[in-house]
Amino acid sequence: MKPPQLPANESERLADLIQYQVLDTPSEEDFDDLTSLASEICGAPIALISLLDGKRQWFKSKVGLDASETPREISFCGHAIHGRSVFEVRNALNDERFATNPLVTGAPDIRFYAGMPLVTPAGHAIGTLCVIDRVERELTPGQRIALERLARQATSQMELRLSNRRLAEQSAFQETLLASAPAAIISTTPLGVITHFNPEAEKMLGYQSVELIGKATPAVFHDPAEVVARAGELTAEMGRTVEPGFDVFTTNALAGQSETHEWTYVRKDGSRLPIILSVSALRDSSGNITGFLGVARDISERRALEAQKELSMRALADFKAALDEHAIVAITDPRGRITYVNDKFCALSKYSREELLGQDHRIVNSEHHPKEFIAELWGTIGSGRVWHGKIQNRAKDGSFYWVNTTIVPFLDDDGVPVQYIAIRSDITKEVELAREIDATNQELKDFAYVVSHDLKAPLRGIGTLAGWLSEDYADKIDDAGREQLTLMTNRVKRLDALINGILAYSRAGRAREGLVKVNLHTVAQSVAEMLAPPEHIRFVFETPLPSLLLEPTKAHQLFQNLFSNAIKFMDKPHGLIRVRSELEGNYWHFSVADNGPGIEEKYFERIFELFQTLAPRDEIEGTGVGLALVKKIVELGGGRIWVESERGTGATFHFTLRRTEPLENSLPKP
Amino acid sequence: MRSEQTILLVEDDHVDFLTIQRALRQLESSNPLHHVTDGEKALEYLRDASKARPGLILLDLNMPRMNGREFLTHIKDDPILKMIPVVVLTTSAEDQDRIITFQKSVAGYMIKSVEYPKFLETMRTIRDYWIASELPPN
Repeated sequence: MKPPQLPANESERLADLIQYQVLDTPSEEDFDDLTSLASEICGAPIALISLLDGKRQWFKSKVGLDASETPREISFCGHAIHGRSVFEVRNALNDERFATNPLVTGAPDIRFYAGMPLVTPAGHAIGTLCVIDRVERELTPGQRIALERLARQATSQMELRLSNRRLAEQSAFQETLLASAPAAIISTTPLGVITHFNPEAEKMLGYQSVELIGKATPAVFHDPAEVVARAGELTAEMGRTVEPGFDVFTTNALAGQSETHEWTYVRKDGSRLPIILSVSALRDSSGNITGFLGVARDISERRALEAQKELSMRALADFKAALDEHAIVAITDPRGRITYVNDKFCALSKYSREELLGQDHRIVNSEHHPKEFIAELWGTIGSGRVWHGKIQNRAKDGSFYWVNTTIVPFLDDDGVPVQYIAIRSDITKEVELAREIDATNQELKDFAYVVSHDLKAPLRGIGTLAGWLSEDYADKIDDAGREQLTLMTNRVKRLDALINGILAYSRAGRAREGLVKVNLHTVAQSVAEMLAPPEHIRFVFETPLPSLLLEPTKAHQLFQNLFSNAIKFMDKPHGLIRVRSELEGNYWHFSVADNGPGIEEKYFERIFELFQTLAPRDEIEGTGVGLALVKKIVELGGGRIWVESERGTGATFHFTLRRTEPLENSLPKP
Repeated sequence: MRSEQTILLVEDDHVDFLTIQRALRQLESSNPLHHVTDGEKALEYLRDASKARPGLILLDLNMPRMNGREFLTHIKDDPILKMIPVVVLTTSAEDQDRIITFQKSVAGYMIKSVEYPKFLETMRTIRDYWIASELPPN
């Protein structure tokens, strides 16, 4: 016996067989009809559809045989598949390939075999349709032809099952795709009657597919106004009338162009939804149009984002417009080249935008600032920190201007500046004003100095000479002359006091000393002590006084003037001067009350004016500067001063000073 | 000894000169008084080897040509002249003047009074202070 050889392309042949998925499946009538016909026509007791697996032949259909498979090496079919025509063995006993085959020597006692290969479209013989007899014989030509045709039928049956299965798979794939696609997929007949309406389309539009399929065109869920408008557009584009209806969606697709357009869907409940719709023509293998396919995606989220972006852009534009109204804005690249300037920058620098863009920012450099200043600026912004400061710049016409500047560096992910935004305000006027104030202050200071020296020197001379006259010529001057010399000396003293007063008053306006924390209790007590009041006048501190941030000299002057007035005007045998303070909100309220002669109400304002006195100067010496000075000091300290008095019973001077520190720091220390 | 040492007065106001002269007379001072009217003349005097070196300088601050502050700068740079005590006599009550002159280490600072008796007291204080603070002989 000779076992059958394997075909050269055995592995491809096996793969071809397997794809039919027929091995080990139940018997089927379609195949059984073929084997029984073959048996009938060929007059053979046994007919088989045998499929050649790797190690066996398996019978899809069999007539006259019980076995469902036999080993491949003893199979007749294994030999038959090498050819493409009927393989016929008239008597196996006379054939060396089969004479000792157990299927010949034993049951089913094969003598005659005729097998037609089952050849697939790929050209592989995957098995045979064969007829078997237990006696020696031969097929007639008619039987041979019938066997060939029946074999082709068997192959076709398998081919049919394969394509059915493929179709089912494809159909399942399509169904899944349609069901799960995040887009509405709608197909129509060539005339627009809906044939498919997927679940997403149902969700999007609120219609059930059964309501629409076979009954309507997609125009029913479009905004009619949009359809009409689009028809107008297409009419203009195509140069022929496009009716506002289904044609609107298919015109471009029919012309072989892609048709993607934004539309508004109108849901079953009347609500609206923005979508983007692509329409394609469906064609059969010969290119005939079989329908149209529309794929629509919901773009409401995109529209909302666009609207939000639009809002943000508008807010940003508003913000920029407001900034441009107020500030001078420039942007430079990391090397200091100007990439943006606003109108205010152009107006102030007197350069046009074209002249500035792309230029180094040094175009407005005034060379006013030392190198170290510029280096510090670049050091700050170069390391990513914000720089604040005042800069003098030079305009195109050579004039100078000052700008209060904030430069903000903007960094990339590595912390390296990518651009600098400079926001400035024009402070030229303020700087000039400050300079003028400085100059005026200096003049005032010089003036005060001149007054105190040059005005006083001759005055001192007059006083001295008057003294010498009354001393050296005592015997030559009579009483009237001496009286006149005394009056002269008094006026010299008064003028000296006035000059000192004016100087003190003018100095009060200037911050000469720094603000320090002054313990007013200590100051007031030492002033009272220094003034050395006569025995019959007593100071009483009814409450402790707080510590405040003040200039020590001014704090001293404040109490010195109030206390000395109380002492100077005291007209009672037991003088009492009461001092107190209490906190009222953000202010400390101080009072100095005496039991002296008091002040008439009509003078309550006047006493605080410069050079105003109430008593004749020859009775009580006064320059009229003291209370004016006190008022100035109090008001410079943010407070106010006023007097309460009843004629004959005394006067109380009230003044307030702003609390300068947190409460716990300024509370009086016991 | 102190009683023979010259007092150098640097003062441009003639009445002030007369006042000091009178005050010294009333204080029965026997020290010769040499009067110059500005800082330059004072330096000329001090640098003239034929003149006796004064034991005390009374210095006005506001003067023509070279004022008291400039004069102080000159003599405090001079190792010998800076040994002479200087008392500043001035009308100024301005703090700034006091700070400047004390920075130049003056021995005292006296404000001229418009009243002669007060001025006399000032002079007495200066004289007493000077006599009390014995300097090594020059």
